[in-house]
Amino acid sequence: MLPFKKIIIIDDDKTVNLICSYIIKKHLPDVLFEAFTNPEEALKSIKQGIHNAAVTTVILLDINMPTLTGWEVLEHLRKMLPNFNEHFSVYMFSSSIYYRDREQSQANPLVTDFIDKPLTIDKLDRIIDAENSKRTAPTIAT
Amino acid sequence: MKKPYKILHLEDVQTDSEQVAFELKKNNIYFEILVIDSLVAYEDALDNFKPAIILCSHSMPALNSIKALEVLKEKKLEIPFILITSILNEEIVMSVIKKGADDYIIKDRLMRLPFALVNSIEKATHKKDRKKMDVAAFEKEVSIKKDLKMLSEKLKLASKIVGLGVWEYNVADGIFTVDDTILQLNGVTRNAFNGSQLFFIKMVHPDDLETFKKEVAEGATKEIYIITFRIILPDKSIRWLKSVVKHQRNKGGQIDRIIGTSQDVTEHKLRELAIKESDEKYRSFFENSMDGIVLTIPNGTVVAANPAAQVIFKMSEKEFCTCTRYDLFDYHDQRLQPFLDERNKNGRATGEFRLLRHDGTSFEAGVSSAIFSDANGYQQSSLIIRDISTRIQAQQLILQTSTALQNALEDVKKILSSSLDIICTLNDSGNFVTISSACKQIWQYSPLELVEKNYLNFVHPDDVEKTIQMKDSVKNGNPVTIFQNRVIRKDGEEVPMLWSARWDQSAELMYCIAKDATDKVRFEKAFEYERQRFKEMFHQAPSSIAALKGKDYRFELANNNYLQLIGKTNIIGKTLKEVLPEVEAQGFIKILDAVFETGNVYQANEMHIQLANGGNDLLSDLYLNFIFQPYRNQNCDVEGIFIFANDVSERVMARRKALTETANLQSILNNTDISYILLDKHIKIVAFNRKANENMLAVYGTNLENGQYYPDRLDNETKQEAKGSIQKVFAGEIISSEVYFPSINGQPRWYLYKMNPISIENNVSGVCISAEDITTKKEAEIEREQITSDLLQRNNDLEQFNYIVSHNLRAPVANISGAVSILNNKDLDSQTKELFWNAVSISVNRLDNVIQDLNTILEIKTTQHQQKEYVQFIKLTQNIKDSIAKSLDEAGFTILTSFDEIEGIDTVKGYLYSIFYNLIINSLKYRRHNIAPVLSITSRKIGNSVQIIFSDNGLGFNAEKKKDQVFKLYKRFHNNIEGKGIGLFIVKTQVETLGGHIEVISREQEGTTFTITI
Repeated sequence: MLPFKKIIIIDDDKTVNLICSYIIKKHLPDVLFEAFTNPEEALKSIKQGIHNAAVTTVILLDINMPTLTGWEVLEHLRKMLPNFNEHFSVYMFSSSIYYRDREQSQANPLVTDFIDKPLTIDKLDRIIDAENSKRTAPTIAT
Repeated sequence: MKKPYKILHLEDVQTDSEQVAFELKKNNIYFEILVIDSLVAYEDALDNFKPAIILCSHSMPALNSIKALEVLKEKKLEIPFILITSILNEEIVMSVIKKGADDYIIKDRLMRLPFALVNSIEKATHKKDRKKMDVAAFEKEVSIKKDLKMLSEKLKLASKIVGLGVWEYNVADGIFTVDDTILQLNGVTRNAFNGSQLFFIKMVHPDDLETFKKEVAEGATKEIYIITFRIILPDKSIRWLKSVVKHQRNKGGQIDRIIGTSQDVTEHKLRELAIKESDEKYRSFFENSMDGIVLTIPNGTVVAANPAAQVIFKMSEKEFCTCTRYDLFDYHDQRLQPFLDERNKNGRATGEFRLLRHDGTSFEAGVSSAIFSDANGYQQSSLIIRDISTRIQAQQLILQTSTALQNALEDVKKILSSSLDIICTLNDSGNFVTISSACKQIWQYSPLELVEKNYLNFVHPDDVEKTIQMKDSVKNGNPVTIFQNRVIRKDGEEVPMLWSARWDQSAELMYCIAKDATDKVRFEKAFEYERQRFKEMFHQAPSSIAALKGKDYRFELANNNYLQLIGKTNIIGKTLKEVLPEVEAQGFIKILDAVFETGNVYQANEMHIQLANGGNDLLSDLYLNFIFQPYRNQNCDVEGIFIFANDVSERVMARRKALTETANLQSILNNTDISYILLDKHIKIVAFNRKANENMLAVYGTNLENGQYYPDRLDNETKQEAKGSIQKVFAGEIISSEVYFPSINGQPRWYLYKMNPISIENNVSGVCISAEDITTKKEAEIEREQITSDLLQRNNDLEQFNYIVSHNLRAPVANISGAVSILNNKDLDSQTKELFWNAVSISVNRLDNVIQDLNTILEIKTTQHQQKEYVQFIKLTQNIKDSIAKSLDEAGFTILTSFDEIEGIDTVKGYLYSIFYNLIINSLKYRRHNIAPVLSITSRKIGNSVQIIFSDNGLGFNAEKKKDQVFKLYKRFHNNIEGKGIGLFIVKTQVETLGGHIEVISREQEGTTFTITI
């Protein structure tokens, strides 16, 4: 039994979305998958879909995008859905090997983890593990 | 260093033993291990290896854990034993534990081993230690008991030797037992003793009985107490006893036994009393002595000083204790050393010399000192001191008084002898008793010739009667002041005399003064007196005085001051030219000539004169106040000249020096580049230097003047500020500020203003304002700040560049890696394969683009010196328009240009082309589709630089949010329009390479304006 039902990827790079789509569909065929190249559209869709979001959703969020950066998207999400952490689990998803991006991800309470590109089966398993432990172990820290 | 744990490991499987060793090493346990698997080796190891712990596998072909434990028991060895078993079989474990194993570890849970090992070893060590301790304690007890027995026997012997009697009182049965010594002490035989304590209490001296009872009662609450008292022995002699009483209590805390010792302390007590008595005597003497007594020890430290000494030295007892005798003696007094020598030689000495008080004053003292040993045998010395300064003062006073009296007497004698009048005393019968020497001049008789003769013998016969009458009247108490008669001189001439007289009843003498009524004598005497007075005045006058006689100015007189002034002696009779040849050339002879001829006084102040007064030919400069006063002979002709001169050289020199210093200071002030203005306490200008006035002229166009109210010299704005600052300075603050003047003589200048209070005796009496031109320093500072900020900016840019480049290089690489890993699956259908090969291809292209971009950027950044040429803006724009004419036409894009103000610049053409091209393309790309797109390009001249402004009506962006991002590499704001985010980065880099900068303003849906300044 998977700890989440849906994965959303927000990345302006179509090739990235293609690779993710293939890997996820192949290894987690039961999970719903949605990819956005435009962060504004992604935000709109998430806002509309929140009413029937009884399912838990994992978001893979690119950091470097032209109109909104990943951090800005995160900020919009926080303002839009005050307790979005209950239904969404965000992973910053970047090709960056810049140490600050990783540090910033770890420091941000809204971010579960930092995943570097490309997405692989191992990394997908890591996400599942992380989500599992989140569901079973009660959170100690806030 | 810590010793390694010695581990004996019973194990036949090598990998297992290695794993154990590895686990221990991993946990930083320091150990030495021996691995064996046979019984023989085991027994041998126990004897020779002496392990601290045994680890044992449960079963081995030649040995098992149960056997191993049995061997251990046989050998009576207590070594911790841990079972290491591969399976958890409770039965086995229980049986091994029962046999004596300390712990067990399952082989695949070896991580617990390090803890278990250390724990078991420590437990075993504790056990061993405890055992050792028990044995030691027992041995000690036995030894103590033995010692105690010996001790008690020794004690008995000792008590006998010192005469210590022992007694015991059993409270329960009331039996009082005593030893023989007690009976001896009390002078009774055992037969006489009745076994009751009352027997002894009766012997206590009646005077001590009360205290004795009281102390016993008080002692009952203590465990042990000491009591000293007198007893009266049967032979009526009195002895002192000292008893030590000890209570023994039962478990309930009540006293059941009292044991005690008694000792005869009579001798001791008597000695103590004697010492106390002598001590009291000494104390009372010490405290009440009128003489000061100071006790010191050999190193000089004062150990005691009595109240009298405290008064004499004006020191408290405490102050005495911190000083030594060296602080008390005045070592400059030569009488001291002989005194000390004598005391060291004979052990005692007396003397009179000066001593020092605490406040530094000194006084004369009579001191006797002795070296003695105190009761403890320590050497001390005493000083007994009597302040004799009053006595000496009195002696001196007497001496002074007698001298004064003597002087007075001399004076009287002088008066008597120098008096022009005859002063004499006559006794009752009219005989001369004393008579002054004036009688010699007036009457020609010497005093000796007259004494004891009757005065009437000398009176003119005609005047005898009235003289007798007068004498009787005087004797009756009517003093007479003027009474005239005639006296016959020795040569027979008669002399008219004027008398005054009075009768002194107590001395029975008549005091008389007789004046020569002819006056001749008087005049002679008066002349002599005047002459004397002149002489004194002449010699003692503070001025230099000389008299020159005749036309050749011969020295007739010269006082000491004059001789000192000219540095010569033996000048009387010599001419001025001989004595002072140097003065002629200085014009003094001429002055004297003028005085001599005209008879007019010549006076000059602070006149400069050079005199060879140093005993050689060297001239020294002198300044003199002169008076040349002619004096005349009886015929009123000028006979000579008096010279009065006062040496005022010092005064003149001092004044000149002060003037020079002021002038020097003034010249420093006027030549410095710092301006100074001094204000008095009314904020009025007191003084200022040249520079201050120059500054005032340059800033306000007015001159400074003394006496002006300073703030009035400033403009209104500065005035208020200056007033505030000056108030602060008057409150004691020092103010310092850097002030910027946009234009002084056409140049921007920076000044450092300082306001310092001028204080006289802690009161601020004025303000000193200084202003220093620090423009050069300030400019350098500003330039430095600019360079620093530029460097910071560059560094930031570089970091950003690095980040972006690494990100953009990594992104396509990540994609290629992702796609290739999918393509590695063998069971892919051809459609999927194609899809991912395509993805790889796109990513490879992107990677190539990034590398090309990088190359372009690095080329700009590294190319420093390009050939510059004149570039016309209008031509440049036209070239670009031509090259992209098709795209412009399709978009209906209009470019308006206005290059009238400046048509072109000298620059690197390629860069300017690229800048224009990128900005035009940018406008074209981000145009708004619902209106006609227009871009206007304008050039302007601003000072020495040129501005080119690109202004469009395109999409624009939120400049507030994105301003700092717009020129960054790979930054894009639009999703729907193709773009790499490199164009503006290149523009900015090129503008900066050309030494300019670019700024942007933009509003969303209104347009964007780029301003380039080169």
